[in-house]
Amino acid sequence: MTSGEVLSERKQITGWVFDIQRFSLHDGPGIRTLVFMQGCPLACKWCCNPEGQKHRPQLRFLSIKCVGADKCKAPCVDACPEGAISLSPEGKAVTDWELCQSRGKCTEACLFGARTIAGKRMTVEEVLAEVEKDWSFYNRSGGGITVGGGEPLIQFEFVLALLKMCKERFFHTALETCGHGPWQHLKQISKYIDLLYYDIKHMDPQKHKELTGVSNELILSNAKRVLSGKVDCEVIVRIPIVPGYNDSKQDVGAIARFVTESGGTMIELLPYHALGSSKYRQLGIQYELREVRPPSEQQMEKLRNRVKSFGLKEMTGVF
Amino acid sequence: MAKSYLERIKTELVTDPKLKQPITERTRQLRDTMLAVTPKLCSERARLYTESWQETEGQPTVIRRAKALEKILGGMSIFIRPGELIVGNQASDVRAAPVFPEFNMQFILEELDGKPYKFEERPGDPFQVSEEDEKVLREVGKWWKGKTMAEYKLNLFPEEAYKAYYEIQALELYTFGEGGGSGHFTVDYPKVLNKGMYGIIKEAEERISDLKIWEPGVLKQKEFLKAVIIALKATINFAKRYAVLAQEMADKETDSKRKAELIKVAEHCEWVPGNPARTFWEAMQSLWFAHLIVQIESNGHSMGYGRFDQFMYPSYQKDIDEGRIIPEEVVELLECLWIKTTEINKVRDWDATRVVMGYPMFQQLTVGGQTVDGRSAINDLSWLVLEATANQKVIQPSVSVRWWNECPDDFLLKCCEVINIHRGGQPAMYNDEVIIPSQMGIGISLEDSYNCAIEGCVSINEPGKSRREGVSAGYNMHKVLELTLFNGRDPRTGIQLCPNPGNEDLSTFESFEELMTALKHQLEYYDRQGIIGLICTDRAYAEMTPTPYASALMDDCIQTGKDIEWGGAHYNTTFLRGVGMSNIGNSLAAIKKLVFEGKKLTGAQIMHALETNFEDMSTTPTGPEIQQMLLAAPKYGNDDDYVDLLVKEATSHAMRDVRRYTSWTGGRGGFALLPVSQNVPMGEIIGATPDGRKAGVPTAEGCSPTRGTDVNGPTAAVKSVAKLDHVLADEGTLLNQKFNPTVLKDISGLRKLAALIKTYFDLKGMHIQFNVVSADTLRDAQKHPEKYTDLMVRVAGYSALFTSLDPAVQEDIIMRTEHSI
Repeated sequence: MTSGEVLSERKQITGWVFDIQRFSLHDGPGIRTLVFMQGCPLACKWCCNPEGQKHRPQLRFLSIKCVGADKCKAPCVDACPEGAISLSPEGKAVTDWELCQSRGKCTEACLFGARTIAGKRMTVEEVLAEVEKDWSFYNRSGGGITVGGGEPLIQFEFVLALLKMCKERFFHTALETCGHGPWQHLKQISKYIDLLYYDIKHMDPQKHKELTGVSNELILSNAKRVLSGKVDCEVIVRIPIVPGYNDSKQDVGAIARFVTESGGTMIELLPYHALGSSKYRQLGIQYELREVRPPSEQQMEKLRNRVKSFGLKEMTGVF
Repeated sequence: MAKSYLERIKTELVTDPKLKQPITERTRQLRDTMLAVTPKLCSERARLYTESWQETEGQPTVIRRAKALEKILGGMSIFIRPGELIVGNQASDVRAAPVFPEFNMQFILEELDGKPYKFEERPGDPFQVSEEDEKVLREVGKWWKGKTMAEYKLNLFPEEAYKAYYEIQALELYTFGEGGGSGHFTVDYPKVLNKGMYGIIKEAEERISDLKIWEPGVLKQKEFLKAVIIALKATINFAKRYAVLAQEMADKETDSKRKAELIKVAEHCEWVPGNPARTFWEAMQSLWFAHLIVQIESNGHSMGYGRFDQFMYPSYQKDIDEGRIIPEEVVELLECLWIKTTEINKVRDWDATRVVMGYPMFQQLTVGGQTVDGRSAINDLSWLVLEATANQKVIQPSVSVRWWNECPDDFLLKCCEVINIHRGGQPAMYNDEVIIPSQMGIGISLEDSYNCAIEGCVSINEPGKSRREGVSAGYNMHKVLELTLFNGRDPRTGIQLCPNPGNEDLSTFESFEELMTALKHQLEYYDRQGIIGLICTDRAYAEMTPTPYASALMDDCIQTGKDIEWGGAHYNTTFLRGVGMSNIGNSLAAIKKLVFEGKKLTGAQIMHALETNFEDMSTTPTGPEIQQMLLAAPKYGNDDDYVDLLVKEATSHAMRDVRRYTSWTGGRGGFALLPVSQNVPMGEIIGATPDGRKAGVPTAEGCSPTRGTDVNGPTAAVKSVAKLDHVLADEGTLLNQKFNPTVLKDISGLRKLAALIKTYFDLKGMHIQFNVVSADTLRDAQKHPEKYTDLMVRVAGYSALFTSLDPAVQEDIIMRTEHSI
């Protein structure tokens, strides 16, 4: 097999992608394109991309875009093979989420964009074509691609091929991971990234399981390896600060201590925001954190100081 | 050792606007007291001009114009505000607008009667009118009935052009006020600073003595040169009035520091602008007089300063070297000039006001760029100009920076710092790599092209050499698209001036190519009507309102004995300002996709939907469904060649076509892609269009994408815009981007902004400017205008106070896509 054939094969690998966002400014240096991979082993209560949690397409219903049956003839009702859509007394479409299989037939029928599907099967080549569109901006800003999600490690083959090809184009590459994946995969991918964002949400395994659905043992064991120099890229540990869940000085201090002891140098605190909450409604899921408010600036300042007290470099990022 | 003030300016970036404040209590006071004023109308100029005009009846017009200027400068009220270091006022009060009866009195009389609003009650840009001023204006207005330039001009319009302009309204002159004066030039300020008015008078006298007046036409040259001499002498005497006033004030002044300042001011006004300036401060005073009188003579706008940091640098350097001044004092003087420049005002009729809201005067001041031999032109003064701009945060002058591919990053970052601090869109950024070739493309010499400056909104100009036409015509290209779809018949008025070739309309076009051919045919027709309107207007200027003062300061007027209104400038152009390119491209793409490729709709279905404003529920698909299908088609601003190249094709066709025309003054037809804020009224006369836009909604502005349709962020938006042939737009293109302040809260944010600018320029974009203000802030300012008296936004090529804008314009600004996290 010639290398040309290998390359063309790699380009045809497919993956589930739920968004590609150009001009991203907060996930690595310069002007970047963010690729969101679908599917995640965790289900954090505060997740701001719930449409990326399942490893398959998800129907999103934007009720404000539904104009109602007086402006359109509600073709969505007939389009649904499961009969999950009905009309409310006001003539607006209502989705029965128990029945909905996210097949997307209704999205083709709705002209008003009230029904969309999050998640699209794309080839590496297709994603690369999107990412390449802004190469001149990367060139001028030192930016590039950041792969996040969901959890990119789930689609290891795809992400590996994508990052490899980005590296061949001299883009700056970054990966955002929750760390819950096979070490070998992480190790292999790390060869093609310049910067790794590694999330640690809580040090207590029981608490971690409550908040995210999984225990943190695998995450912490991978973290130790990552932080102790078993990868060549730059590593920044990220902590989402969620008031009432992990925002005490003890919680953050425990993570900071772990990071220092494992050999890490940088922590980025991401203050919780509720911007993702409307997405839950669009997906027909309950949002548990309705009462939670973003942490105050004073609170963040305290936590920053806590992190710095371990001799770590602290930066405040955007969730 | 501690860094010097200048070193700090050059090496320390800040992102908190509060950290840049007026440099002294003096400039803070002058700024704040000026901003607190509600402008008045001032009748002095109207009265003095009219008296003079009555006295000089029977004399050559150009002489009468000079004598009228002499009478105004000799008779108008003058004052010096507390603390002023640079003196000279335009009208009887701060920010008061003089009235130019010779151009148009009709609108003044109508608006005094409350049609459509009384001046005080206008929804935007109001003016207070005292009883006394009102009385004078009514009397003056009665005398001028039937004698003004506006009335004369309308009589010159051929019927077809009249219909195109005033009935279909595919073209308009209202931006400048029906009967605004000639503008769009930058006089040769270095000549005033270096030769003085006496030197220029001598030049004119010598020229007169060489004239062979027995030869054809030469007598007219002599009249012009005599007018020049009258006008220039009047400016010297005007300055001397201030010398007397300053001396009187000094005599009474008890504060010894202020007394000394007033004595200095008196010395300056005694010496300049008659003689060459001896110091930086004196040069600033001379410059201000020269500039101010341009504003008093002509009723135009877009008279800028040119390359300020270049021509002011020699006196700056000399004073610094000889220890006469320090950079802090220079910044204080710059701030004084900024305040004086913001004091300049103009009253336009209500229609024009709607189009250029925010009391703009388009007084551009250019820094940076390259020297004539292609080296960096950035000097210490360029940096200080940026600093003064950040400190003052006022709407004038419009500070613009020329960037080129070797522009140092520290300077660009300083520009980004000021963009963030100023929050009103200054400085605007221009790309030398495009503007210089654009000038050479219309026959301007390489040397003069390298020496160009920004003028007007975003136009380019060769200071002291170019008259870019007295007015330009706004060109509603979006309307031309609508006409094309209806076989040249305007759905609003029923008028059909030019049918399509083959008499086809949207329901009968058999191919996309047929539609494109028809569109190009219509564009050519309206290009021509546009030029005819400009020729009529220019002829009216030439006959009625020559400008001997400004002409004296322009090459080659003295040599050729020709006023700039007679074609005396070294370079002449005329131009159309195209608006609505994005709507054209989006409409074409939707028709191409849905009718000719997808066969999802027929042309007849779309045409019916347009006629019923997407509201007919009896059709299948329904009106709203058709609108959605059209909205879902590719949209300009998302880096999609499918539609971007259609925008380019239509735009470039019109730009190339206009080149074949010659203006009244003998110059080339040119093109700009800039809207001022006329995209709002222009949209009002257009029905629903196939881009999914409903009737009456504003058109897209400049070459920016239609608001809300560029959904892939700024990188995609600027890539789309960069695909146009900017180099063909010799009069400039305009790209507005709105940034949320949170993006620019730290230095890395400024670096990203710089990278965005550089990449746009790499891609051969021409101009870019930013509104750094969040939509939330603007909403709050709508609700509580009293809290936001100095909140600025970039409207088009100029900055304006947000609260002075009409609610529809405010809404348009808020709606423009906000690029954020």
